[in-house]
Amino acid sequence: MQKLEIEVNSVAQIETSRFGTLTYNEEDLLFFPRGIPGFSTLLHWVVSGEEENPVKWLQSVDDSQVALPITAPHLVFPDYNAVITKDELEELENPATEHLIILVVLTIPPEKAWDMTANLRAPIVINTVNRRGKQILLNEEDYPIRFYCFSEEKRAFFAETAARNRAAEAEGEGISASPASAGSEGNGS
Amino acid sequence: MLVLTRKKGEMLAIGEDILISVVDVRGDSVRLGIEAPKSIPVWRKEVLDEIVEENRKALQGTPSEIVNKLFDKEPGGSDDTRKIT
Repeated sequence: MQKLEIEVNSVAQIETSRFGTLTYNEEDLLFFPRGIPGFSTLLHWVVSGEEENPVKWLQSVDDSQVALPITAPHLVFPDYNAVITKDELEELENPATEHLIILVVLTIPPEKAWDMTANLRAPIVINTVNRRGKQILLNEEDYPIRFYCFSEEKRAFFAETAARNRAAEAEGEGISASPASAGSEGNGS
Repeated sequence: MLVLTRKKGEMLAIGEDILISVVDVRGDSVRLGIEAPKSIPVWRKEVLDEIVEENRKALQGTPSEIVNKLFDKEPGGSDDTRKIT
């Protein structure tokens, strides 16, 4: 079994496609002993993102091209109550509840971000003490793999706003500063 | 692919750690019992495929500032993800 070596105050850098050069403390490194389904060879990750943004990125340290958007599950589903079995936690060396973080992976359609979904069925759990993580599959089949983060009304509103802004742009009029309009542009940062 | 015939109640060993037993056979359904180390996840294949596909789709992400603005419109958001950074 591979072991995560924690060197306090050691700083490392990776060149990422999303964030450019990303600097992280090696003590912030997360170790996923089995990777993540679909990325089973990528064992080392860091959480990256802007302080005030509820959406963070689980950035692979082993493959700079790979970063998955994640968020806290109750932001999209306030009553989220994942039942995680003891067996599932054994690989993380049985963290106490207060040392356990649960995150959900987001799928964000590039052209219509408002239709983003959260994978409530397979959350990512992290032991904050030994910084081990894994993606687990819940038994609760009522937690969907694709759960819309925004209500139908809200999605309709964002979609309409985006369509209106596109139409306005096409007519050469002023561009509204509405957030939904940005979804169609896909400008990188 | 290795194909073996087993009867109800018989088992297969994969290495020494993983045992698969045929619990019951009814019509075209087979009930299997699996004993494996807890570190080895056992998933229904089609569910694993779905999770893999969803994780890969999650890669084609949108710039996070757009996503942030969408969440701004969401009342009562908490900031729980912050403590992990």
